[in-house]
Amino acid sequence: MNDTEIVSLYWARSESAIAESKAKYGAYCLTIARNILGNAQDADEVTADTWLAAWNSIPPHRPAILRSYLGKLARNISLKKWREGHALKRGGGEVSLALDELAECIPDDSDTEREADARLLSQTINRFLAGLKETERRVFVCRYWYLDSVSEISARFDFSESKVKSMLLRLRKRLKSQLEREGYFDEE
Amino acid sequence: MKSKELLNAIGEIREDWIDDAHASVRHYRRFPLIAAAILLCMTLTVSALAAADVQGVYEVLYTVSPAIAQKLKPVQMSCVDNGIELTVISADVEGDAARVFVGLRDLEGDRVDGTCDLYDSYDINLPSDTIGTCSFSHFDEETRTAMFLVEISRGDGKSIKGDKLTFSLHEFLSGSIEYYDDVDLDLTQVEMNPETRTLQDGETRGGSASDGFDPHTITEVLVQQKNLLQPIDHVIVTGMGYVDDLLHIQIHYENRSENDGHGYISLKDETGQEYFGLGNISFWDEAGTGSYDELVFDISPEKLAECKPFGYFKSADSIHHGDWEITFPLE
Repeated sequence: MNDTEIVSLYWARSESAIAESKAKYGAYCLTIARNILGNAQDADEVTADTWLAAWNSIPPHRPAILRSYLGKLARNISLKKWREGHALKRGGGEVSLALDELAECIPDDSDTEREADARLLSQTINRFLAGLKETERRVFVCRYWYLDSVSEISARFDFSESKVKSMLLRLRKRLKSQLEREGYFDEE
Repeated sequence: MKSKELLNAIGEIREDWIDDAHASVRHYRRFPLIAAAILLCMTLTVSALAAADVQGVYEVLYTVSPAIAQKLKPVQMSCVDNGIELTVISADVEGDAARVFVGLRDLEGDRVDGTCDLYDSYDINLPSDTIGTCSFSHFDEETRTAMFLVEISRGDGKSIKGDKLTFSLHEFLSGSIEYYDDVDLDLTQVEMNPETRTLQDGETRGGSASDGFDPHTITEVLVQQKNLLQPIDHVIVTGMGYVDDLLHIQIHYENRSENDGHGYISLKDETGQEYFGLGNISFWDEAGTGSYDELVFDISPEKLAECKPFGYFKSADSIHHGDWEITFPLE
């Protein structure tokens, strides 16, 4: 069944929408959840929550790319669960590593209590990604959207792990420069 | 700002890029095998680039990746073609990957500068397809030398064996200009009934799109109107108009294969909300050397009146060709 038909099932409030989504994108969402949570049982719970979230949000949404839409739901639910688990000193996966890496994009002397406008920050990151070469953008998205490990990315792109690491390092430096250029770290 | 805010913001990036990243498997570049080690250029010499000249660069390299910098072993061999000297400063082989630290210097003029790009034209002779990247670059103003750390690995994952390697380079770009700012494009000049033409078979170079939009549905494109704006050399905005209720903005990249011109335009409204195009289609120009990108936006004229254009463009001034090749021993 194609995505348009699956979305139509959601709009028609047919429960087979969930079965079709699960059949087509269950493994995809599970991969995202496992990357973040590092725990199969928690990941299974996340995918169940993902179908429920999709059921509750379509309609009113009519996703243009169903796969990415469901992936976003799975990512958001997984990160929420990761934060709860992290507060209880459990959890795992790649999130801690990715957060440490992304901290390199923030100057040491910046005000960490000052919150950035989430919408504007996303637009800045979209501009940053738009300026990258295709492969660089894919590697960045794999690491920081999908939370894929460096070894997974190296296998996916047939790159050595050292190459992936140096590419990510270079991209983080460029993102930091862009954030600086757009005034995210100016003093108030 | 905290890193978790960045992680959350990354979660809201364009959905087509999310889809594309995990749909892409093994999009790696394949180099042709070197059929024979024919030395086309040059006299191999011990490099005139003194160790002292590169010491400062090593220090920078150490800050980027101490593990890599420590492993590099001195080579200091050079060759010259077209008046430009290529030096393999140092190198290292580890498993299936070779790292080669090279310097490029113009002995006759000023063709090497701080914006040099090896333009994916380097190679190492290996008995398999290879994957390469340039992970570090630095320009030394004093010696006018551009230095690059090139990493090349075997596509088959096997270890690199042997007591010598041959590094070759065939072209590089210089004089690159990058523009990233608001653009002085008068949106009141958008034509409501522009002259258009239908793209012919074989004219299209490719396209990209977001949100499920198929760029190949863009078959009617603007007839080049006039030079509305030239943000940087080799890049000109050549048209703006509504076609089938979609805003088209046309950008021409002169001699694209020679200067690697690329970029985009987005639209920002008064609240800071930024609108990217639904997609774009690329097609060759009349000369067949440059190309047009026609960006398509789903934005009404009323909304457009509230927007200002923003742009990113990059282009190199010149491309330099040569046959630089150095065979060096591995310790």
